[in-house]
Amino acid sequence: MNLNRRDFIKLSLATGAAATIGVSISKPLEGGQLVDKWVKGTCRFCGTGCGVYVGTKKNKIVAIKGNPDAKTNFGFLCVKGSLGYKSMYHPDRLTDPMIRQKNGKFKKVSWDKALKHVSKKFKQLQKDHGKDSVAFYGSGQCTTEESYTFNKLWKGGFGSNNVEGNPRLCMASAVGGYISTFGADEPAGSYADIEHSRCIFITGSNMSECHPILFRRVMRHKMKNPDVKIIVCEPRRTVTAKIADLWLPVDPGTDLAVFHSMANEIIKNKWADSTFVNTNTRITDGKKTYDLAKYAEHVSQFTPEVAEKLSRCPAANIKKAAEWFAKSGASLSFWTMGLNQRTRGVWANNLVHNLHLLTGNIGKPGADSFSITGQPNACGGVRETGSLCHLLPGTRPVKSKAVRDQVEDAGKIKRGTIDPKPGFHTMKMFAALGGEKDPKKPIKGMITSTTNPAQSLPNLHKYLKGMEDSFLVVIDMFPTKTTQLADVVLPAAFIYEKGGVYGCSERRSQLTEKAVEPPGKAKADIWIAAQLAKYMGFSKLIPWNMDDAMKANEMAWTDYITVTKDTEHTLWGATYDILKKAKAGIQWPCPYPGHPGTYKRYVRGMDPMFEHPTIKDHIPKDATVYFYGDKKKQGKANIFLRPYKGAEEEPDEKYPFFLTTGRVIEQWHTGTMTMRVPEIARSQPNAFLEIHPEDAKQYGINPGDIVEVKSRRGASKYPAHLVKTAMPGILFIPWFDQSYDRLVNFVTIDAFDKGSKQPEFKIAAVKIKRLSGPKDVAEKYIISDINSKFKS
Amino acid sequence: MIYSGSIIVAEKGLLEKLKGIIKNYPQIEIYGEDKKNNQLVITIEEKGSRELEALCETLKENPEVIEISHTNFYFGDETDKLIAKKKVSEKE
Ligand code: SF4
Repeated sequence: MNLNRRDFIKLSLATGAAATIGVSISKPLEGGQLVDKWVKGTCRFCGTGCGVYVGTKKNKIVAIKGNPDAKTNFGFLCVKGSLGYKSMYHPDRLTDPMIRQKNGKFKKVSWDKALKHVSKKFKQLQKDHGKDSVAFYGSGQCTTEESYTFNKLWKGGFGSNNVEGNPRLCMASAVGGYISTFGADEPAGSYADIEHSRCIFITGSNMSECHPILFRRVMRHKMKNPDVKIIVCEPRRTVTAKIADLWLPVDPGTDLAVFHSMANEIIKNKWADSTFVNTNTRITDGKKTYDLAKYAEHVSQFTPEVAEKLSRCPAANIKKAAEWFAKSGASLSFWTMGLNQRTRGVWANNLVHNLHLLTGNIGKPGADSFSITGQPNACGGVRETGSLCHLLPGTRPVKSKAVRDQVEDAGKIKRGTIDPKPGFHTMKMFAALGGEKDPKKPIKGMITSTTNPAQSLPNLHKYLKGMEDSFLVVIDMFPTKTTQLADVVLPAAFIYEKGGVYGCSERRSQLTEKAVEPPGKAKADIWIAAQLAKYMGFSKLIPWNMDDAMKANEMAWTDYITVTKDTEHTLWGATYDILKKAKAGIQWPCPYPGHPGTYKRYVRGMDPMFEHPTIKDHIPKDATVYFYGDKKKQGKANIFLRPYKGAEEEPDEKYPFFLTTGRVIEQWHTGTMTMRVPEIARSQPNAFLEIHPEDAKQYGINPGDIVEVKSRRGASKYPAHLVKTAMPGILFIPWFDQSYDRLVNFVTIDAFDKGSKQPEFKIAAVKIKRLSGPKDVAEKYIISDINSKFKS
Repeated sequence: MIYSGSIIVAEKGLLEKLKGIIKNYPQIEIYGEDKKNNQLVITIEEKGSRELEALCETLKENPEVIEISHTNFYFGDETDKLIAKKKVSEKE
């Protein structure tokens, strides 16, 4: 068969697609190869954890295909996940270490010079201002090995707990919710519950845009089983809400009333599973324990009519939602930032868990209370390795002496090195960051990896000076808002240029192999971390400073799984060799080599921890469900009595609108990668303001008009999109745009949840003003010049 | 140009009708079918992701179509173009 190149490409793709569904195609592909090799990995553009193969030709990535064996995506991919990789080849890639000179401009230097400069400065700061004066700020996009290495260097080397990461901004309330309710972090179930569920409750999540492949699974399940009920609770009528059988529209921050009201309906109508409640739960306000009658009394204040007044959600919808949730036989909840990025984020998480515990919708196929992560490795890299200021590997508290002793012994760290006092959480860390001469700012230096805080922190104006005045080292692939404030910039490798493990939302760790070489002098973050350790005198602690990135990854991973071997997060059975061979990764707990990983926790026969020597003796022989993380050692989960509280800042006469922020399907986070993919940039070239036509009419705003959005903290301006997706009074702006005028985080609020310390990105009170008629702002704005100014 | 390998799922009994509809789209080529599950194996060739998404949305408006999903993409031409652009900018 004689094929031209175009036909050959199409035939190759068709062959791959056909293999995914197990059919043969009419014109089989003979000879020739579209790529030199396919390399296994994981998509890095959301927390779903889709398995992929990237196709390389002459050391370049030219194609991508879904991994048909992956238990997350079964071979399917979304467009963002498929095209985002092209950013790797953008001409703006940083390829040399750079140090800012006295004239304000960056100069390219050798790695030796850059590392000497950074280590010398860090040592001086630690000597002059104490061990805690230098901080690490990482990311849910670092690999597990990278997060573990930085965390070990700081806590086990410097003896400082000033280690944080951007998952504090997206997942901390979910961690707080899981730990306070179940005694242990992360979901009990898996994505596989989707196909067994009878009712899916999606709340505070625009799954269709943020986790498209998970949404595809939900849609397919619904298509095959039309009687399965989908309920969506969300202020905006997004595509996710459009497929729902029932939409619970709520004003931002008022869903606590809806969840309480659903609980009230469930109890009032005797739909609660009293056997499950009596056997497996404890009703508490965090201090005292109560009976179900007391809980019933507490939620009885929230009749559907009262909840409607508080939230604008129709009472009839609340009643129906409660009935479907309680009576379905298997209800599954999903949520993301809509619940987490709140000053009552932990409470919101607790109240969803309450619904599951009250109705026995946990610990059986199709039933679970599941927080989806936004980033590919927020769970594996940051939560599980304990790369936050109060944690140690295994999501264990740094305050515990027993945990510190174990981590020190297993990690070959000198006893007594790890500081028992937690470090500063993200918002406190950035508030404390400043110049050497500023006595009010105890943190003088910081290194960031794979994150862009000068665009992503809330109430941004407040934190920029600290970043500018301090000694700031940024590891990144591209110039960003943060590199504009940095003193040193270190060029980073992309995931396929270094390899490593990502742990997605469902406790699944998947290994990505290195596929191609990084450009120029760009290096893997793990190499940078290990070299920094070497230059600072900690090479014994972190000996994986070799050039071979996969070798370094393997050593760091082995260290990590050794330290967490006997925890409920155990990945002891997921050695690097096993992960390399595993087609679909492994879900923890995985206590020994050969164990297949765990689909569902807390259930005898499914969860290997029931047989683990560290736990087994505490579990009664007849217990089928047992929450072994329970601090009271009774195996119970907590149903929480939580008061109702709305947002920190609610609309008033001066600032009459709710503003909520989020993602759009095409763009990833601060757009530094996705805005460099031409097709993506063309589809979403700038941020915009979504406003209801009724509100727009009141302010004389027409489509495309430029509108200023102002809060008590700052302002930014956008072209108006008139849409009926949100209720009147609620505005929406996506946060990917890097243009100074459209940085929405000048407007957002930095108030945070007292428990999780997660800020309330999702809710701010704002006012609006029409500035002008339509202007073309479709700039596809990116920062190309490393020497450009922040205000450019 | 981006190329995708995709699966299109038809309503029961409407697979043949869907094949007829697809003939109106020169960007789409049918390569195989799974009669039992009402699925077609197709490739889509489009200028960019926006056009690809828009095409899928238009197709989904047909009552014969249940779903379109993608399994693989080829973007080697863009990779080459980007690298070429980089070389030019390095020379500059
Ligand atoms: S759903 Fe997420 S992980 Fe999957 S392909 Fe899309 S962006 Fe990547």
